[in-house]
Formats: sequence, C-alpha cells, structure tokens
Amino acid sequence: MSLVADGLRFVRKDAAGGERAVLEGIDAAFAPGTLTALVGPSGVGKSTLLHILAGLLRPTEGQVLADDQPVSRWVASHRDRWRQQVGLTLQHPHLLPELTVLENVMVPLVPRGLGRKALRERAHAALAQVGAEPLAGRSARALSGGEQQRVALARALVGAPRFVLADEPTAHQDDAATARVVAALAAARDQGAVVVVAAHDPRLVEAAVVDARLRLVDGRIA
Amino acid sequence: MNTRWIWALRDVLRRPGEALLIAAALATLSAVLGTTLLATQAVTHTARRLVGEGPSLVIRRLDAGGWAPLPAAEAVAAAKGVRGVTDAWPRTWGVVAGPQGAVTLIGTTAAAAQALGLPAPSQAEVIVGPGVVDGPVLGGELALARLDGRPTLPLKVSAVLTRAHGAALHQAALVHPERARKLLGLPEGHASDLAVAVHHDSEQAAILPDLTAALAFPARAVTRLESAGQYTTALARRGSLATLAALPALLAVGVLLIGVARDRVGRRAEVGLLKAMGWGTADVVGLHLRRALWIAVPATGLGLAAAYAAVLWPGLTWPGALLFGWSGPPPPLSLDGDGAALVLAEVGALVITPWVLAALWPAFRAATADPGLLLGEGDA
Repeated sequence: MSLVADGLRFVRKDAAGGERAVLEGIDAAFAPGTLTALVGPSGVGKSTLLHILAGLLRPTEGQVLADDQPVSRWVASHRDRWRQQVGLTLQHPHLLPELTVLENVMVPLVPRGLGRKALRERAHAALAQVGAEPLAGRSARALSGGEQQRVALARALVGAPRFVLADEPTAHQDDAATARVVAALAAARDQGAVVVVAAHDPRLVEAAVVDARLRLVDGRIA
Repeated sequence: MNTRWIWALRDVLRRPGEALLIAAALATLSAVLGTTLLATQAVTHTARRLVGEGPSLVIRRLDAGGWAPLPAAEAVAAAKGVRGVTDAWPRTWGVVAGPQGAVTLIGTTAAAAQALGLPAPSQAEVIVGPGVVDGPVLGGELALARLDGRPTLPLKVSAVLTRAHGAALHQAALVHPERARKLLGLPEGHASDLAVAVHHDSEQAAILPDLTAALAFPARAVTRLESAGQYTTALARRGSLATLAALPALLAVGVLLIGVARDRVGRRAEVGLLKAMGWGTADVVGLHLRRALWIAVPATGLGLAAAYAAVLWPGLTWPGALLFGWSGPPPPLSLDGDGAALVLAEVGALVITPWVLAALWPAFRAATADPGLLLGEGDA
C-alpha cells in the first residue's frame, strides 16, 4: 500500500506559450504508516507534486504508482475511483461558502450513498478530530483562514483515506490549533495511511511525528 | 429520500435567487406554451365533439348571390326519398346582432326545447345562452337586430342556459321558429338549411350525388367529416400562428440558458474541487442533472397548472381573446386524456429538455478535464 513517484517530470505552459519545468526527475517512495514532509521555499513545486500524487494532474513524464499500480496512467474514470482513497487538502481551502462547515465536511461522502445520519456522524467525528467541532453549524464564509484550513483537513480525513496529502495544513493556525492538526495527521498515519504534507511551517516540519523530510530545490529533490 | 437528491436540493438552495429566476423563466415559458397548446387542443376537441353530435349532412341552397333560403317541406320530402337517408329536418338559424356582439339565432321547436328541459319559447320570448348577455337577465328584455341594421321588437328572456348546456348554445338565442324566420328575413315556408341523417358515416359521400340530384334547386352539401376537417385545419393553423407568438419567450429563455451555461463554465473550479474530493464524472453529472430537475420539474408543473387554469378553469377568457379573437364570456371546453398527454410531452420536450442539456453539457465537459487544471492552484 505504498505511494511511489517514479521519475516524475512536469512542464507547465504559460499564457505566452513558453514552457517551464516545475518538477524534474522526482523519485520518492512513501510507505504506509509514515508521515513525510515536503519542505522547501515557495515555488519549488511542492503543491504540484502533491497534485500529481493525488491524480489531479498528469505528469509530463514518469508515473505515480499506488500499490504498484500506475494510477497516473489510468483513464480518468479509473483515477476518479482511485481518488476516493485519497484525502486531500489544497493550499487554498476551497470550501463552498454557501454551505455550513458540517455540510462542507460531508462533501467527499455524498457520492458513497451513505444515509443522512451516517453522513452527519462521520462529519462530526472528523471535525472533532481537528478541534473544529464547535464550528459545525457555522457558515463556511464566516470562518477565519486558519479555521478554513482545519475544516478542509477534516473534509480530507472524513472518508478514512489510505493516502492523506495535505498542502500547508497548519497555515494561519495558532499553536494550539497546530497541535490539533499535527495530532490528526499523526492519527491518520498511526492507522496505516500514507501521509505526505507540504509545509514551510517549522512547527510541523520539525514535529516529532514527522518520519521523513524531502527537500525540494528548483523542482528537484535535494 | 435518497441522499444524492437531498444534496442536489441543498445545492439548488445555495443560490436561491438564481434558482428562483430560472424557475420563473421556465414556469413562464411553460405557461405560455402550455396555454397555447392546451387552448388549441381543447377548442379542436370541443369542435370535433360538437360536429360529431350534429347531423350527418347539411344541405344549403345555392343561387347566384350565394346561400339562399330553401323550401322546407319540398326539401324534406325529396331528401327522405333518397336511399340511405334515415331522417331529414329543416333548420332555421342565422346570425343576428346582440348586445355583446354576434348571436346565433336558432328557431326552436317545442320538442327541441323539451330536450333541453325548458318550456318552448312563445313568439314574444327568447331563451339565451350564457355568452349572449352579461349578468342576470331572466325576465328582462333582449333586443336582437338583423345584421342589415333594421330594428326589431324586444323579446322577453324566458330562460337562461347554463354552461352545462354545452358550447354549441353558448352564444345562441333560441326563439319560436316563426319568430326566427321573421327575424332572419326568410320567406314563409322556407328554412336556412336542411339537416340529414344517414345510417353510417361511411355512406355520407356516397349518398351526396343522389341527394343533390333529388333536390329541385342547386345545392351544396357538407358532410360531418368535411366539417370536422375544416374546423381542425382552421384551428391548427390558428394554433400554429399562436405558438409563433411564444417565440420571444423561447428566445428569452434561450438567452438565460446561455448565461447559465457560461456561469457554469465559471464554476469549473467547483467541479474540480468535487473531483479532488473523490467524486467521479458520473457523480458530478448526476448532481447537475438532479439540480436541473429540482428546478425544472416544479417550474414546468406550475406553468402547466397555470395554463390549465387559464384554458379550462374557469374558461378560456383572455387566452380565447388573444389566441382566437373571441369576445364575451368563453364557451365551456373539454379536453381528452390523449390531448393533455400530448401537450405535456410537447412542453416537456420544448422546455425541460433544452434546460437539462444546457445544465449538463458544461458540467460534463468540466468533469472530464483534469481537476488540477480546474482548480487552478499555484505551484508553490
């Protein structure tokens, strides 16, 4: 149940038609039950690597293997199905502002055909895991940046994913909230998930629960 | 209710203003189209039914100036002598001017009045249909005038027919046959036309040559089948023209749908988010389909209910004036199940289908793109 980046290269085209290699020759293996931090300054490709690992973007070259299966080469419908095993938070939380916090957390579970009661129970549990349970009934548009990030992490964890990919999950968090987020990520790891986080925040990068650190410099692993 | 349907409803309610605007547009379009189509259906059905209840053949005398009164006794005797004719009777009727416009004046025998459950009108009395006068007039006076403008004596209203007496008598004045003849200016012993009954409808055309040959004057005979065809063709043409009037509404909804479709392209990031959260293409398209139906089905239902009310309850008032140029209170109309089902199917095809397609196509396109590109995240 591992996640492997095998010779990943990603070239982004800009509006003027020029090309820029965002990632180059990325080889990495993320084992189950480990928490890996992708570190490095802004713009080195941490988010792009997470997107490719999550199957949101196709690599220009190379492949992503999940359980030895080349998921990045699969057709879209198969990748869609595989993505149900991925819990993802993005750099921008992307909450749906017209919904409540609880409804936002339910989003990944809706297509799974669960009943309303089960949906609510699991969403409440996920919110409790990141210390955001008191926010459940509030409108998503009324949250601060840090609260939005924690709700986004609850949404990523609500489906008990096998792969947790989190982009700057402690951004805008105070120390207490950061501790809750780190604990939630550690709990996912302890349950056997592959956990990969992209972070600058030393409170996360230096945390004891982090098993490995991969430093990216100019799109390459240093 | 299935969680997916509840979620789709919740999604509709995320933007209630937009949903209401679209629902109002779809309801209006359904009402306009439904009124036009239901009115045409109902009038056509009612006309067919009335023609079906009439005589098999109607014979009118022709002369150089057009229609002419025919000698009643002579025509009846000649028609009854033709093989296949089971009955023949003269009719005295014509159009006169009433207080609210044209009125069909019908000479009514005692037997015909009894069939309506009313006493026969005397020479000074008249039985009026509900569309002839406005308000209660029982015991009052009604002035009817020939179309050439010559004044006539007022008649006392002895009874007022109700809508239950049917559309044929809606705008009719029933008077003593002799009074009718005088009012219409027919010579003594003459009638307006001759009604003929035959054994079977299939014999109508075959009997026509014998019938016209048997009469001592030039005549034109119209069969029940021909009458039904004339009515249907005229009403269908009118209905088609009226449907064209709905084109501006259709165009307005088209513009709205284009706007919605463009807006949905702007919501591609939202589709990207759902896919990033594990939704498949079928899940995303299913959500948009349910959303579209949550809006379109109640809106179209409301529009069709409004159309039904406008046409059949309490009657074709303003749509009758608009579509068919009617004046005065509308006649009672009927609609058969097949006609109503046809209208539902037509409105469904014209309103719901384009709306659902306009909602689904952008969603399908977005759902088949790479979610990362839809989300437009940076490469930090």
